[in-house]
Amino acid sequence: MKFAMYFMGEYVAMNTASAVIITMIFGGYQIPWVSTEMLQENFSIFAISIMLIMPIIVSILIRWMQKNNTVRPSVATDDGRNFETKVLTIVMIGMTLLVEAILIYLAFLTDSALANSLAITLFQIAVFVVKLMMFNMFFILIRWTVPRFRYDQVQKLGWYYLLPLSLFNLAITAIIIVGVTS
Amino acid sequence: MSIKVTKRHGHSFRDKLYLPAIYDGVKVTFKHLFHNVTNINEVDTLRYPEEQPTDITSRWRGLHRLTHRADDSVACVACFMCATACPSNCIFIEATEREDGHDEKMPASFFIDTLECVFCGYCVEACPCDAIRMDTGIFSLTGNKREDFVMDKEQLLSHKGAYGEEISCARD
Amino acid sequence: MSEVINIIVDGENYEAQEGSLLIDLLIKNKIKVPYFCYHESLGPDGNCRMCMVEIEGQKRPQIACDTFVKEGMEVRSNTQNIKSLRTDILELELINHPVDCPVCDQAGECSLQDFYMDYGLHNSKVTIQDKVKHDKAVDLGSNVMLDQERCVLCARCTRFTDKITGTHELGIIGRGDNAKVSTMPGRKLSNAYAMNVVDLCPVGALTSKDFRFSQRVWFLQTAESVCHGCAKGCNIYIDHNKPKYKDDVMYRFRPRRNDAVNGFFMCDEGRLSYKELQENRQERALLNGEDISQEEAIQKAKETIKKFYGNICIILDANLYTQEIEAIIKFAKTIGTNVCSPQEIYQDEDFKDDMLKSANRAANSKTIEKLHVYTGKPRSDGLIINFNHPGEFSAQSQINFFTHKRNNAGLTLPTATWNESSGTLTNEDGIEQKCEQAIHKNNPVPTVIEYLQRLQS
Repeated sequence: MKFAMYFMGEYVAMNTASAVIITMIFGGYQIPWVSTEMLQENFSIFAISIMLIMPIIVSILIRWMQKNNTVRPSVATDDGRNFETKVLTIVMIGMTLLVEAILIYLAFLTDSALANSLAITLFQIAVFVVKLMMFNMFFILIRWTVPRFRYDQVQKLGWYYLLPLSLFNLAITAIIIVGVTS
Repeated sequence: MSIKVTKRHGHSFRDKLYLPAIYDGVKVTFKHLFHNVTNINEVDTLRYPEEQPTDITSRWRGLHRLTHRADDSVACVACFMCATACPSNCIFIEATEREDGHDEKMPASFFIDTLECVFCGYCVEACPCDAIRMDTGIFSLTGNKREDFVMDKEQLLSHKGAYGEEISCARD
Repeated sequence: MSEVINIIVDGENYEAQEGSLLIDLLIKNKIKVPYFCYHESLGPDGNCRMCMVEIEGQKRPQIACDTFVKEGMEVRSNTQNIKSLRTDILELELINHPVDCPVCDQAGECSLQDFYMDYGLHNSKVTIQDKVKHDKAVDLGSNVMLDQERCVLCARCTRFTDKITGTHELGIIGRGDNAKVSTMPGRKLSNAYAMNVVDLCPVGALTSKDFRFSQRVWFLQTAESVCHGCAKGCNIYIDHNKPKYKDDVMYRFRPRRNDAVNGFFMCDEGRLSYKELQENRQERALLNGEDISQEEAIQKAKETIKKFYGNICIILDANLYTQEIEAIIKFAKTIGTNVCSPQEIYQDEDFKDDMLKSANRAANSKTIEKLHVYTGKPRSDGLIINFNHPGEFSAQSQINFFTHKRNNAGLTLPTATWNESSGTLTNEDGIEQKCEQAIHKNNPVPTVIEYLQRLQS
């Protein structure tokens, strides 16, 4: 467990860094170019598009699972994996139907602003989690690619390139903002 | 005499930026990631424990065993050659008088501490009686406490040879 | 009587006493010469033929063990001819040898193995099945095991019983392939020095029943010491070993050559005395039979000594080292008392014989005598401080420094035995001898000197 704590600490740090980066630079829980007000005003369009997209994603996932959640035929000794796939397929279809039903109810049968806001909040949490996962993925990709940085190179990259670059960025931003506002 | 001049890499501006190279690397790993995630069954790793290794040969050094003679008595004569050759001193033998008609000496107790063992096979090489072998093909040993990994004489005698040579070749 | 003469061996000049044996000169000057049957205590026998050397002027190679040195003699011991001769003789010796080194206790200190590595390295022309079979593991009595197959018929053992002990138990019977060492039917080897044949035997034919299979000799460490069995003080090697995760254990005593004291031998009783030395040891401090800690015991001892000041008697064992006796006498002065060492208990006329055994069973009684320690009964009945003396005494209070467990009242402090410390002994002939520390325990108990230092601090 000691080792697990140490090793998980690594991932906690990664998640924290991702969350901070997303919040500061990549728009937090928002979808690009779509603000919370826009979603609230056009709730039925939002609900319909979710209702359309979700079955597509779920069907892709189920297809992936049926193809890949198996044991190699040369190895197959029991039906454990197939049974698991079957159960998960049913669970995912059930969940999709549930979500569709809720969205239908919210979009067409009721007119509660509070319920709409709650649904949008849940959706935005999901957006944040997806972004977080993408950033974690990015971190891991870098680690796969460059298993060990040479420390002198990291230092060089930071001091010689990234720091001047950010200072330059600061200057440019300042000029543009001053130029645009004046 | 000519001197071979090797061109050094890493001095161009592009190389010094590192980022293009890292980008190329990320591209490769991403390609592999995508391919592996969409075709998990083509990954070249062993699905252990559902899939067991098939490439263990008779020369592979697995867990030790003590061999028997043709009449099922212990082949070991407790000469301590294995314990003497052992670089990690993990073989503990106590000798005693033998009563079964072969030779004079046999081990009263024979312990191998597999946690200390480095599986070098020197004991097998040293044995003059072909009494200790590492041809059981057992590559994984599990236990709940340290004592489980100290093999005693009965355990070692109960291990079977995996490659046909069941009885000691040196003894009648 | 004898005059010094010059001889040449392998081109080098050596001096020797006229009338001495050539092999003695070779051994003394560490010139490599293999031999089985010759032994300095038994004299030449000339039956093994291993010690052949070339002598200028002689047609054939001669055995070095039965050749007397002569003025101007020219000897060659390492020519090709001699080497191949030794190989051939060794092959002859090994014809019926069962080559069961793995189960042989002699392996590691065996002349046959050594000479095979030096001169043999031949492949046997006789298969194991064709070898002549004899009895193995014959119990000769007196803790000696005989393996007739391994024997090279050097006759050292039979000569030992003939010449040294004069008991004539062993003999070689049969001829040719059937020749073997044996006792008379129905008779056993029985004399007080019988186990010396185990050391004499150059191969694994005679082995000790006591040491049998207990340890391979190459694991053993050796310390030089002196037997504490009697006042003779035979020189010994203590063979001991500290196996992994275990404690230091003695496996055997072997006699160590000292021409002034014991020659080559020691008695069986002394040889087996290592057992009782390491058994039944006192390991914890006791107060009237209850375990107490070492610190408490020392504190208690200090208090008791203060309480009985002026009414104390110190009794010491005559087996202690000279250094320990001197330290105890010095300590006695600081607490204003004298020491005594009752000697009567050590006298054992039944033990005495005319070879090595002495009637005085205390190893260092000569030092007691020299330092004028009072040897009568203790003259005080207040507090008795007993440094491992075997006698039993009664007093109001007792402080005992005991090495072995005994029934006793009062305070008992565990003390190191003689093999766990070093010091000197003076034997009955006044020869001072040093004993090395052999045993290094994982949890050592303090020695007498360490205790005295703690009591005075």
